[in-house]
Amino acid sequence: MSAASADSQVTVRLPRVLADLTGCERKIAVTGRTVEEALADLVRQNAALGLHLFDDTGALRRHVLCFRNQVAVQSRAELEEPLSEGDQLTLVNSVAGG
Amino acid sequence: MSATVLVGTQKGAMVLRSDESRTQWSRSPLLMKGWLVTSFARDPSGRTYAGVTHDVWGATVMASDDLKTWTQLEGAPRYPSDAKGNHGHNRIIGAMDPMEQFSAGGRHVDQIWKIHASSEILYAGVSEAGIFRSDDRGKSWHPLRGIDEHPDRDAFVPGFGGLCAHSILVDAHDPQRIWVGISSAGLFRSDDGGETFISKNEGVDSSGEGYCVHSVVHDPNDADVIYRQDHRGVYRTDDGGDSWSLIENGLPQSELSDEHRCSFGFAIGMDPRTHSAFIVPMAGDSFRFPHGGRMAVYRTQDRGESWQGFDEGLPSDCYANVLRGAMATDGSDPCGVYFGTTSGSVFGSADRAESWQTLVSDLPKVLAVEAFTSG
Repeated sequence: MSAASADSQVTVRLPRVLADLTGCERKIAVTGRTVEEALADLVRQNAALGLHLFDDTGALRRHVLCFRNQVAVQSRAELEEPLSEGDQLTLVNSVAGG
Repeated sequence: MSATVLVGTQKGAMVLRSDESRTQWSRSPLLMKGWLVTSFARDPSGRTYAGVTHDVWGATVMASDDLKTWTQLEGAPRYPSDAKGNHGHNRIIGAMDPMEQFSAGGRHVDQIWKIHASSEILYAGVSEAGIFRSDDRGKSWHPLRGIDEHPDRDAFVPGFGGLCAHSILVDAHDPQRIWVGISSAGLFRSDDGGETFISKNEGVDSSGEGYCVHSVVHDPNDADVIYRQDHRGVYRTDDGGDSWSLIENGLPQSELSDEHRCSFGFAIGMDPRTHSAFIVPMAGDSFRFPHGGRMAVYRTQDRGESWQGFDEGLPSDCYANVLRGAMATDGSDPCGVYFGTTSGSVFGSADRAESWQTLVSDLPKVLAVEAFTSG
């Protein structure tokens, strides 16, 4: 894990389909030193989200996209990069079909 | 006596409510938008459960006490991360899963197929096939060992939609007796609360690769009497599944892809007062639409000795299917019967299937219908 000294206050934006299901606001304030920790805090606040974000092995579901500000978090290393105060994480799902 | 009909579709759910005569209907907004809603169950307290699935976000169970606000349960059926998957199932699901989530070889819950509420016990039938039980209203779930560790499990052959446990029956007088329908491994019965399950398909025609049970329904007064709409015909057992007899006198026959002739269909329902059973025959597995495009519901009042078809009020130029979970009865007197189609229509009858009206149309594909009365 990269060195990160303090928790950052960041916002997670949820897709509508998840927010409806979990009774969540679409913008959730979380804290964490890294993207991974911020998502863990999100699940601490709403345990039901854990099922939807992570697969049976505990990894982020393969067709869930996480953007940090405007940049996709695409690797394990990027999940562990330190966050900055005020960052926005956006969770989206791949969309296909009719 | 007014009726409430719950409709689960490919992209959400709708609640339909009738007046006392069950001829005037109102509808709710679309609920659980974006989710595949595959099954409903209502427990004795009046809480309603819904099995829901999303291609991206996974499968879980929702609950509602007022049919307006739906809340995800704390827990959801999940296999252990080291559970071994069925190769045939993963091949089918993997082919429909461009992100290859399910093709890595493990055993995953990729869809909730059936929710069953039995007193304070919840059961969930899922694919990859298994039955999960919850004793705490959905906070935690565990798989029934008898299916999870069935000695023939590796040899189970999946149906067209994968290896799915889509039907659950529980004996109201002896909850240790549980039946589960798995496509296309057949019907299984447990006499010990799910510790062991034994195949119960003697007398049912087999394609050679297994038994493709489509749906089953109990006689509410006698759990040993079960009606079965199978891929290869309509059957009844009087001994809890130990033996089955074909009951197709008066039913339209269709030719399957292997030239076997039988009455093909998916859905089955039962009037708990008169013990009448209802089915919707389809024109064989190559077509899966009503014979000649004429939608009709067939009813037996004599335990399958004879069947009579009814089509008043149903479409005569219809090429939609009625899926296994998409038929329900409301238990009223006379019994209301309801079914939904793959083209998004829901039809209702307030007179035991003799005449019909369209309750709603232009919904997404209808996967689940449940009904009950109130007032």
